[in-house]
Amino acid sequence: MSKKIDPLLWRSIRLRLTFVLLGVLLIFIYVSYKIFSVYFIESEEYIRDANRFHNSNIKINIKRGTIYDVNGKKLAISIPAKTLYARPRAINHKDKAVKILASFFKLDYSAVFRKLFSKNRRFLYFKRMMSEEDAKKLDKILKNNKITGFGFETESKRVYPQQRLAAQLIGFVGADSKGLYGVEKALDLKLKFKGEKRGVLKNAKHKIIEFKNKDFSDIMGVYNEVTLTVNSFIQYFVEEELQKGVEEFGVKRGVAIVMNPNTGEIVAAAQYPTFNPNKYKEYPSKLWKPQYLSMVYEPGSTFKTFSIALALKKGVVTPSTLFDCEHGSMKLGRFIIHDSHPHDMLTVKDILVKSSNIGVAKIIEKVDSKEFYNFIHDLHFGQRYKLNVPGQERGLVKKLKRWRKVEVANISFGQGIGVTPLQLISAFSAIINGGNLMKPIFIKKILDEDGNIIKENKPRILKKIISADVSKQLKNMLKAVVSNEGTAPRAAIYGIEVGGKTGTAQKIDPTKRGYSDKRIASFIGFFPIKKPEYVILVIMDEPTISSYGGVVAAPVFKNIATRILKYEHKAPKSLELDDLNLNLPDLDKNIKLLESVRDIEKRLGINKSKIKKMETDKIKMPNLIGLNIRNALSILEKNNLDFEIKGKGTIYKTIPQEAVEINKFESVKIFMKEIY
Amino acid sequence: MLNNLKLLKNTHWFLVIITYIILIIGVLNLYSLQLNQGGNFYIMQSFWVLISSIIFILITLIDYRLFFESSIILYIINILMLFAVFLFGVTRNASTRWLNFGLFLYQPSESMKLVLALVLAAYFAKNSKESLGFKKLAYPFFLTLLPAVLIKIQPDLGSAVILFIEFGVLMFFAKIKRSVWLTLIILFIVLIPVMWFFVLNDYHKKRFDAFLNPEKFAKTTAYQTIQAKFAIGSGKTYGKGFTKGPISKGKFVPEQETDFAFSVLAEEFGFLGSVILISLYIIFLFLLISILKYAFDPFGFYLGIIIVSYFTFQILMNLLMVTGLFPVIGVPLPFFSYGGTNLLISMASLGIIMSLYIRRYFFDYNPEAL
Repeated sequence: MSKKIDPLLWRSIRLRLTFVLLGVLLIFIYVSYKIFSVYFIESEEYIRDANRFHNSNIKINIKRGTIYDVNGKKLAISIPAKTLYARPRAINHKDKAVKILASFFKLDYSAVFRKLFSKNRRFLYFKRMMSEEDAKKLDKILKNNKITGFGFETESKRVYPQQRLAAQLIGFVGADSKGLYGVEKALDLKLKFKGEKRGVLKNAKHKIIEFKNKDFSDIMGVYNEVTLTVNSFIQYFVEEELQKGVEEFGVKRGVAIVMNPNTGEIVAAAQYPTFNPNKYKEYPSKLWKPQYLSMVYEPGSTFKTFSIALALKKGVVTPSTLFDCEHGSMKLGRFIIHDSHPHDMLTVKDILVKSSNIGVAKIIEKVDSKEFYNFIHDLHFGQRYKLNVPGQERGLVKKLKRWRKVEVANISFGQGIGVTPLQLISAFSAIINGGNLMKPIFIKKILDEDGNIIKENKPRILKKIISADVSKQLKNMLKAVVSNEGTAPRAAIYGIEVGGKTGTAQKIDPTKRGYSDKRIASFIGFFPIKKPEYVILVIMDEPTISSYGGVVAAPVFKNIATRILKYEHKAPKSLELDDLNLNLPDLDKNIKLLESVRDIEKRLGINKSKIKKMETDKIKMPNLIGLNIRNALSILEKNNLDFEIKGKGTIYKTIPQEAVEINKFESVKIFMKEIY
Repeated sequence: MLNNLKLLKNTHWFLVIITYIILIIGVLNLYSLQLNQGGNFYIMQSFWVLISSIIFILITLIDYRLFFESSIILYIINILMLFAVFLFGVTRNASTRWLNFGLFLYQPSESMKLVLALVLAAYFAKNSKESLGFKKLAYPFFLTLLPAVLIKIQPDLGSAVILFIEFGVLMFFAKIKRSVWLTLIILFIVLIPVMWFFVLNDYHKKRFDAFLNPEKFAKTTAYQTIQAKFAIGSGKTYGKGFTKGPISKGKFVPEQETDFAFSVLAEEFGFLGSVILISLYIIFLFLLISILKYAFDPFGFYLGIIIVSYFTFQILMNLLMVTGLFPVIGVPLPFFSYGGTNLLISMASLGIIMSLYIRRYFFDYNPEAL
């Protein structure tokens, strides 16, 4: 068996072996070269790509700009909160740790155990946003038991100290401090902390496994603060009175707005039922929406004001022109128009005071329907205002070509047209302020973190609607509505001249075509007559006790107005005896509670000086058009720009545009779409 | 056996030292990975190092010529085990490769590589005097085809390819008729398209496509390779330090304990670490080849050349795969990757080489050889 190898074969084998060895050597050389190239030639690229995959920056939720009301009362603040994180593999006494956490958070032993150990994770947030007191207590317990593997992190938590006050207007932020509704959403880019991000290491599933820098007291960045036009005290009155009214008259929902007619500033905007933004998840999402912007309803008789205003403006009637109101029933083609109370001959003034549908329909017949359409358009019905607040609806105005005679008549008394409360109050303000349509304002100013004004929204006239004379005539007519002859005697305040107009509209039944027996009752009023300072719109959706605006909405107006007058110390002596107390809320109570120990910033561990103001160098917006998100992000990161992405695919638009000068750390918007 | 113990003083100590250095680096590498990803790789691997060291010594002591006759028995046992895998096999990552022996999992496809080497070497040694034609080659071809098919079904393409490499290497070094060569070359040209359409399934084709266009598959098929490249590329000259590789920590590279273990080392020890490991392998292979010249009979030589070639193949394929130069076909890095059976068989193979080496003085040194 152990025969020797044939020498001849050996020779040939040697040749073949040399041949193979040469091949193997070549491959080794190639591999070595390739590894060399991966390390040194392509290295930069791999490091960059690798970093993109594994290193990530998370925005630290260190601070968010405060939202103030017009008096400087805080409506939304950031308070320090602690987050308990765990590194399960570093926990020394598992059983003990689980027991402590279970009893502290009142959880099941097995639930805690599962959360900590079931997925074999390196790092996890066990409980976010704990109060500092709780965190201290738990920390002490853990230390006393010598348990390792847990730690606390400082985060900031958004708190709405005034609870439900102006909830829909302010909105709220989601779990990662991103504004989801209201001003929090509209001005999210301004309010949020813009600055250095915190480096983290993420695993393949994009879970954080490690923080790179444990200390973030020296973090640099900027944020803005916002002052609203809302007056918290008046907002408080409005909400309280609206709630009372809704409950008293069995109303499905109530909406109320208070506006300064001379500036267009929204003083209060309320709705009931409402919600508490601190616990927004406990409420149905429909309550989060701002009804005063998004509710589209038929305004009913309040709209007659505008029809008559147009007729007066055109000079086709005077307040004393007489019209035959056909004793409450008039045929118009195939349709019949009714009045709720039959009248015969009425002046234009009385048509408004008694709210005669027939009368208004006859008045508007004297005006060209195209002019009526343009007038409605000028009053901004059927259009959105350019506002920086989300949730605004456009309303419904039929196209001119679809305006038959009966439509024109219907619209003249506020049926067959859909408006939002904001549109109505803005248009009404224009009627009584001397004829100027003002742009509605919610946000008074935007400040930087040192309180310097960056942007201020000054009153802006959008359009001259009617002359001051016509305005004055209308004010006097509207004053008469709030009298014993008019439809709203319950809105009258003894000792003060107020004016207004009631409205009652049938609601369209969504299930069948045509109107249902449900009503929307409203009242829009203003005071004082001479130089109006407040316009108040109260809308009661589906009242059950009575359906007339003069009955269910006017008293709410009266109560709100009375409390505003008392608050401003302008109430006449006679009102002092009124049983309605001013009942001023203590708006600082909750804040004092939250700030009880020290200043909020100090508790956050970030003195103003520690949040260093970034050098906001000006840079030019890079050209991103046509790029995919990956390339765009690397450019933006390089330029220290924050961003917000809309859509996906390829970038086709950016705000600001290319080459426009912007500040470092500013947010830009990127719009993307699939182009393939 | 006791008599053989004296032979141990002839051991090639340098080769043993090089092998154990690689083994220790491998275990430390797994320790780093375990620290970051959990599991019990390094303890299991240490256990396997111990077991396979004993096997290594035993096989070194056994005269390799004993396998000349007994190889066919081992072959039959191993084929039976491969069939058993179908019936009671353990499935992991969609392939059924393992038999559960309670304490450990055994992978018959790994031992098949060595057993096939034994039977093929024995057959070719028996017929070393004459030039082989198709008739004579049919038998070894069938010996190779049967386990290769069984392994391919598991599926484990890498191991199946290695079996054919073994057969091919022997064809290359044995005396074969010219007509056979000519026919084979023609067949090869014809068979490539047939292979593409009938043998390789979509998943292999996709990998091949991913190999050619890694960017296209960055998140799917080529993910493994690209992540491994990230790991290697981000290591730079000296690496990120022991147990400090974030890519390894983040479990970005799948199979990082087995086929892609090299990427952990590359990330943590950088170019320097990689070059040291590759140099160790080059020295290792060089030493093996140098031992071949001590082979004094055709069986020993054929056995040695097969073992050397499959070590070479595995090392090269693994390095090419990890650096993205070859499609991912699942070949572990010998002595370095996690895997009990692979280590056991690698050490047994080394044992056979050593068994051949320590008996070099039994016969006259053949100056004609090399």
